[in-house]
Amino acid sequence: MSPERSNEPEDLWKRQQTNDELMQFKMKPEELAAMVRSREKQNRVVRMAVLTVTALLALGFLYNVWSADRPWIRFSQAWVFGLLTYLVGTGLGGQPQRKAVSENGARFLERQHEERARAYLQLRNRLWLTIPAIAAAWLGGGTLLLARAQGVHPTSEFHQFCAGPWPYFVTLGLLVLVWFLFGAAAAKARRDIEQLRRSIAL
Amino acid sequence: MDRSRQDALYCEASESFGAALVRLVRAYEADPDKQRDLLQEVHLELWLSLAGFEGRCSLRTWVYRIAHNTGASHVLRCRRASALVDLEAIDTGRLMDDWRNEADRRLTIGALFDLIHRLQPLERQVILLYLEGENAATIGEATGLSATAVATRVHRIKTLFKRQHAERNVNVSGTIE
Repeated sequence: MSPERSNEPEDLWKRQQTNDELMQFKMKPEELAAMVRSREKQNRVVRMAVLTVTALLALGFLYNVWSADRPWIRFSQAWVFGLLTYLVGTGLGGQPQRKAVSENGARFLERQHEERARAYLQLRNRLWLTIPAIAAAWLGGGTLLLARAQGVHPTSEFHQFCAGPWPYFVTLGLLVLVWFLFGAAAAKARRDIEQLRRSIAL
Repeated sequence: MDRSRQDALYCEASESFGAALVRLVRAYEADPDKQRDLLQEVHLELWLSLAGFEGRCSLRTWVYRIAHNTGASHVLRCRRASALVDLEAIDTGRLMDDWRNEADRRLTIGALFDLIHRLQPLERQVILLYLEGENAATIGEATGLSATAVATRVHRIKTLFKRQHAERNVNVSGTIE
């Protein structure tokens, strides 16, 4: 007769099945090195794809700067071109840094929340960079030009909508909404930091 | 650090803490299909990190830090952190119900995992290290919590387990039912 086994959590924890597939999991350093190389290659491909798409978009805006006949439209397109170049330069220019994960648990979690809050605020602040392009497009009658280019009939309601300021009001309204959403997400991350700090102090 | 030293340290860590890493991964990911991926990620992070290991802490503490941080990242990425609770706020009533419903009224590993999966990452680290049999100093070094904070949490864990134990005994003797 087998002796009754302890059912205390500590014993139960250590007694977990030891002969299942996961427990037999082993990796050799060479396999791990190959995995790292494979991931680096994948990252390079993704970065190149993003860079190519962004460069093509930027070229499209550059073409508009050259082909548009209204100065405000030219300014608007030039602004977007500059903005894309800036974003690509700052966001994709450097190699991604590997984050240290060897710090203690509390510091690691705090850093994760801090980075999340910083990223949301950075995105939120960058939203305002689109305002000059939107304002210039408004002054140059950008939406009306776009409607005409799409063959919208001049007597249609949509044409009248495009001729007025409403497309820009809607765009600005959406920008403000997204600004608030990013702000709320950053505030949530800051609350998580505070909660973590309170928990650490307990 | 040269590559051969990094590889040797990884082999040593994998050999000594392999089983603990599997238990830890199960505590951070409930889905058996995803556990293997997370375990692979933990091993990868461990191997990469060992290139920067300078012996300022023990290999044991280093391994726990890497594994728990990788697990915490996984939790924060996959699950809304707001759905997780502190040890203090754990719904012991529900936990007791889970344990009571077991046919033989014995604590099962499933019920224990259910408790752990509901905890915030930092609380989870403490309970896992406690269950692994680590002392307060190692738990403090791995989590960054003060000795007092670790002691408080360990006390809460023990109280929780004691309540479970008392409840089980009451149910088995039938004095309440």
